[in-house]
Amino acid sequence: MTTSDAVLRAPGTGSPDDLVAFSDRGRHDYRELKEFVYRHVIHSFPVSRNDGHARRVITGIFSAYRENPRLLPDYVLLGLHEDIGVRFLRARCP
Amino acid sequence: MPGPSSPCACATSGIEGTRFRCDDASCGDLSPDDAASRGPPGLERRHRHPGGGASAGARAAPDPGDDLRGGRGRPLGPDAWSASRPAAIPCCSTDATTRKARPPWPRSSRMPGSTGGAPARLRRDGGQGHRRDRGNPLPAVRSVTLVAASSPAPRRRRSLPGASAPVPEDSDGRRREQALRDPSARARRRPIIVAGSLYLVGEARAWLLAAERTGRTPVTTATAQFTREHFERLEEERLAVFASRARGRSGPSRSRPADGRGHARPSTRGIATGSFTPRVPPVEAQDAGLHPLRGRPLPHPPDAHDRGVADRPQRRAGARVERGPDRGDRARPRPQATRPFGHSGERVLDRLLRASHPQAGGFKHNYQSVRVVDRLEKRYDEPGLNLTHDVARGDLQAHDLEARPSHSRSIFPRGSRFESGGTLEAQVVNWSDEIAQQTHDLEDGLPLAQEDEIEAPGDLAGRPAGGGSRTRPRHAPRLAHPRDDRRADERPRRDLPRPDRGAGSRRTA
Repeated sequence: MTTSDAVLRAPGTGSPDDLVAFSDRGRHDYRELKEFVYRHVIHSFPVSRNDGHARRVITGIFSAYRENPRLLPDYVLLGLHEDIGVRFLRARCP
Repeated sequence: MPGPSSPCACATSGIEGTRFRCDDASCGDLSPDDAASRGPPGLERRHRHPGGGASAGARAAPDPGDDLRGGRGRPLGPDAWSASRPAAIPCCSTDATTRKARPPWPRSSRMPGSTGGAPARLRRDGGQGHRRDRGNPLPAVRSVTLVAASSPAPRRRRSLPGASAPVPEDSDGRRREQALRDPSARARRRPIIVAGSLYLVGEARAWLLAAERTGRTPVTTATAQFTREHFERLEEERLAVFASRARGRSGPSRSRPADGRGHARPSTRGIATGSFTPRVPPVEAQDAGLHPLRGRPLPHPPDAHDRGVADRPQRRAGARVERGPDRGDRARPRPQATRPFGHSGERVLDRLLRASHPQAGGFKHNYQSVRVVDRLEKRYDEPGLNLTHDVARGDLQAHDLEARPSHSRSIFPRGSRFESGGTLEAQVVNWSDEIAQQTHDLEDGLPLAQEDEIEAPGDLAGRPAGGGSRTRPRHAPRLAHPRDDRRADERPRRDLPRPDRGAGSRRTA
């Protein structure tokens, strides 16, 4: 509340768009927590290893769908047919 | 009632089917016999009249392209009706033995170029829309009948999504909803059934029909219009003075059918959409320590981002912006489009898309969320969920829409800037979500400490993290996982001296 009040009273501001904010102490604690999480969890070895697996899986799926769109589910092909007018790939070629 | 081969009374206006009552008073497509079998007046499922005078229950009216879309696709406008529909259309036929209306097309020909069956997944919603808990027909209903009865309720009171209408107060000023929750009050006062007509099914419907048939139970019906003005009035009554209201909020610029639903939905709709709904095995599988895709035990705790802290369902009925998503509902979207791979999948998709389709503008989950609620979801006559700009802005967050030319068809007016934090609710939720994200990431990372993958707190200051499996000094205590329900004295204390060999005994040894 104090921070919000300060934001409102600050000259040149007064917009409620950025009214909700941390206090100085809260901002410091939040940054410390975030630094800790990124340093020891998100950028850690096992999580990075999992990220690498995810990249390979998604790259493979993307390549497979791009090379053969018939691998896509039926409702996706129907949606493409309706939305952007591509030929329904399950149908016989005209 | 039309016979099996004769067109129904609506055939002249191009409507096929006799299962639903038309909203147009001049259109008598439902016989009294059918009306009696469908319950009290106002409880029939209505459908859209092609003349445009009444528009409700768009799902009930099949269009000519339904056979291409498995029975439910993008509905056509009135012009398309008259232009595309042939003059003579065979009406729904009625099986004399089962008296169940059948569609005029065979069940096996819904898919273009296919002779096989029409699986539910052929529909645009991936076969999810047929589930009663997924579909939200409320906005598609022009009028919903509230049924209040002063007689014993069925054994099990259903949770009905259409029951959000105001309930009149009793003489003592207490709301009947509260009385229903209070067992003592329930014993004193007869329960009330408040139901949307589309949901009055099963036991409740049978009870109501029986009550009406016998005439011993007084049944009171009232009709409430679920219009935008109705919800705005509810917001004025119930929301805090600081809350953002739908009144005065702008919506999509495209035209909307004049069906009484208003221009755009306020943020009071929960979104039970196919795009936001359930996280496939992840939650259960991860809680069980299983791989979300393979079902094998996880070799390590899942990626903190993959857990999607904001995805954890907070499924109370309330403003969309107050929720996390799944739903879908979020002020701060997570990259669910790439789940269970989270931000990693998002970055990979962005790189692949930019390389293969530069005109697409890459991939970003914020834009994808707006695209989902704006174009991909098919719940109404037009694509999208008909949300206000404020709600969609919560999805977009502080990202500039103009940076993505591929999203220029979005609901926001061109030139909209989104540098600010949005509404007050969105700002509060954004910060709450930030804190929750970091906290849950930390919780997800705690098991790493048990696997010796993370250093003990005492060594965090100066040593690099994640350097290997033996970065924790031998003397550092292990971090206990919060899910470890064993008492502290029951956990293995391998880092502490054994009870029989305390410090003193070691010193003397």
